[in-house]
Amino acid sequence: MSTSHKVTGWLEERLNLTEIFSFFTTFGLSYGEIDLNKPLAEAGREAFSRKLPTYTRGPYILGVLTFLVFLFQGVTGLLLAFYYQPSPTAAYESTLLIIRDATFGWYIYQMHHWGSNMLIALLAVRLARFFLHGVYKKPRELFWVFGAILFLLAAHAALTGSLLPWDQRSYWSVTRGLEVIATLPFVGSVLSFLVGGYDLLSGTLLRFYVLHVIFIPLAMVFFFYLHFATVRKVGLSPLLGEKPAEPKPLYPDHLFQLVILSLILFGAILTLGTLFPVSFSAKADPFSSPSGIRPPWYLLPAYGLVELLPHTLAGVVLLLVMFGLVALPFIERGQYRQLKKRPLFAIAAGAFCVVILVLAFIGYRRGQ
Amino acid sequence: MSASEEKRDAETRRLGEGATLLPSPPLPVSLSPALRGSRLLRLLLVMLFVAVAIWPAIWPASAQGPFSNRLASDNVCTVCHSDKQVELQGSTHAREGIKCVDCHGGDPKAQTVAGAHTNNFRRSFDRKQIVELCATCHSDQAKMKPYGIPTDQFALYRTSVHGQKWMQGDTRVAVCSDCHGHHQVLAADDPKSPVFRENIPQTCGKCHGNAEMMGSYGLSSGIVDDYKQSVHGQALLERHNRQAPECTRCHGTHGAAPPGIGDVAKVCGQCHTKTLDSFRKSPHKTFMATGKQSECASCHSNHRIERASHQMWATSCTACHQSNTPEADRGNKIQALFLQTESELDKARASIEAAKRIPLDVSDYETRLSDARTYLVEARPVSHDFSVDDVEDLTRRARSIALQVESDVHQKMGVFRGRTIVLTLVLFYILISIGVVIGFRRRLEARRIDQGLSSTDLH
Repeated sequence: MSTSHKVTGWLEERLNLTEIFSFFTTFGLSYGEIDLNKPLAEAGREAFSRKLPTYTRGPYILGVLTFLVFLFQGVTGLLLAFYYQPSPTAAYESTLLIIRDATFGWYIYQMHHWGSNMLIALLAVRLARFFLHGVYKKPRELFWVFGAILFLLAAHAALTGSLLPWDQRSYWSVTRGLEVIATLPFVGSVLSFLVGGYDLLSGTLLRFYVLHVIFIPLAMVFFFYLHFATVRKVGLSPLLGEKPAEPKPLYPDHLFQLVILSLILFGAILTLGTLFPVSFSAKADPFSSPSGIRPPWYLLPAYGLVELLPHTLAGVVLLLVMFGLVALPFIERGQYRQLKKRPLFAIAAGAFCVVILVLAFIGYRRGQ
Repeated sequence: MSASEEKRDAETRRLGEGATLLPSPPLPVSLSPALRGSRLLRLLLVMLFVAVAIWPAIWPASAQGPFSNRLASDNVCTVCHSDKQVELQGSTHAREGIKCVDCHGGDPKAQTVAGAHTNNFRRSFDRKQIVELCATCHSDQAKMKPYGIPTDQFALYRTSVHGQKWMQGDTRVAVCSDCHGHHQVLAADDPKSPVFRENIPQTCGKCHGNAEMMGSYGLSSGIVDDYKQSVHGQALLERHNRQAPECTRCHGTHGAAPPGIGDVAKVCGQCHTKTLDSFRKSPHKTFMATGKQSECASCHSNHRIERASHQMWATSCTACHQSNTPEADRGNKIQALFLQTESELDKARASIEAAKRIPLDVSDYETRLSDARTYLVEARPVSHDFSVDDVEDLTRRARSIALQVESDVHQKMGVFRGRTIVLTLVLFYILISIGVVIGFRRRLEARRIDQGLSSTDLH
């Protein structure tokens, strides 16, 4: 009997390992029930051999990648938190410590930065895929709702996180971002109250830190869980015009795919972080606004809108767009999934994309 | 006719035709019967009287000078000349208690217009009188002492070109009021004053920018515009650097006169001390002592002084010396040393900036580069002795530091190149890992086929 079997056997005489590890199923990472009365090895064999939909292949990979990047952000964020100090007097210095002196600190800092951008981009591409393939048609409306909420949460996580280095670029970039959020009717004032005002003061940094490392990640975990739960209930959306692929067991098919995907993802983020490192400017100075400061890229369309329209009107439009984004499955309730059979929404979506690009361009130009 | 008008007519008859009565003072406020006779009111009146009586004793006068003991009622001129009162009000003279009577004479307590305009009253002054009028106080030691104002201004004025012509009877030249104003005389440190440092070019330019007036004296009217475009003018007027010289810094204020050819270096040397020291050692000094050429102005011009650049070495020397002479060659060598040093400093600066973006800690290198730049800055005034060796000595130190800094930063930036190598290695490792995973998966699949097992039975 191998050592691992001996250890497992010794532990199982004293506690129910299967019950402890059953959260994989509960959380939605594995399908089906686990018999808590069986030993861990046997229960694991059952779970691994259970056939699962092909969620690691085709367009479904977007969802897997999103979750992997989220986990990656969690790990790198945790490592950064070992050194980071969320106060205006120490934030800049502790960030410098991370990127100059801490072992692999520079890599982790850069990868965390690029990971956040990748998370937002993946969630946006995934929403586009949902729209093009009509994924959110009955009974999968919640796929879209949770996806849109996760997108908004990821953007907020990135915004709150980008303030933390407390250098000139991050400080003034977030100031521009807050100008956008401040225009939102009611929501803007509530958010302002939560973060301690529109001016970035010492209290704001701490609140941003708490939002970034506790509140928003927990909210995202919650919505990921809800998403997995609804996927288990209604199943993956079949591809248009194709037969559903044959389900494959978690081991070896899905697990090998996940390992390869994780390695590619890690390589991609490391390459971006090394070849295109985010610059680090002087310490934040509230009395010295540098030129060429614009909000983060995901807020550029909103920034363009705020620059173009009166603030109150822009705030109302932004809020309506956000509600419309989340509630799209309940607005487009037609039965067809194919894009050519729903031309009105296809044209509207195309126009929406053009407007977003134009507003982003305006926002980019205004920020110069 | 009302009673008050009858009374006024009778008074006019008593004083004689032509005399105009000043407006009557306002009547005292009539008190209501309830208040009249009240003890409280009487008490209040007594207290008010006592307060007025002891006020000067308990409250320090706002102005401490020979004019500060005047009362406002001593100046009834303002009843009619309220416009002048407005002009005088904000002036430094008014703040010190100077009244109309101090310059214009007259009787400030008179009750009639005619009476007010007696007692050596002078309505206005001609330009000759203005200087003398101001000098009556400003040359008086006793009066000026409390303010710490020098009393030699009138004497200085008489030595100036303005004063010389004034004494010859030329009344078009600048007199006190042309620069300081009439009633609205402000202190020189008041930004609204015409003699405030930043306003001086404009004040002098009122006459010296007037082509017609300057033409009659055979002078150029373009010097104010020239000054405004000069390095000094831009520093003062655009960057508000009050250390930069304006007209009076070189020409003097009350004793304004153009410095002689031999004195230009002394004037410039008041600020450019190091440059003057070096220039005195130069071969030019002996030649310029003959008075045939102006010292600093020969290369740098006088009013339109441009920002000195290393390019000047290529053009200024050959303005007098032939291009193939040793003198011109010396200028070229000095220019080459400066340009080479600038280039080395720029390269070191670029390395530091690149390292900062990584980011690396470069504060130490910045300090060292700052030292190098100090040597370069020091070499600029020294170069006015036209010694290649002196310039070489200082610029070599600057170049040496810059090269060392660049080398050190380059070495430190090896960290960045190391990162690219790490990336390559990690990517290679990832590829190998993926290959291993795929290989392992295939072996499992082959074993499954060999054993005729389904994929679920593999583990």
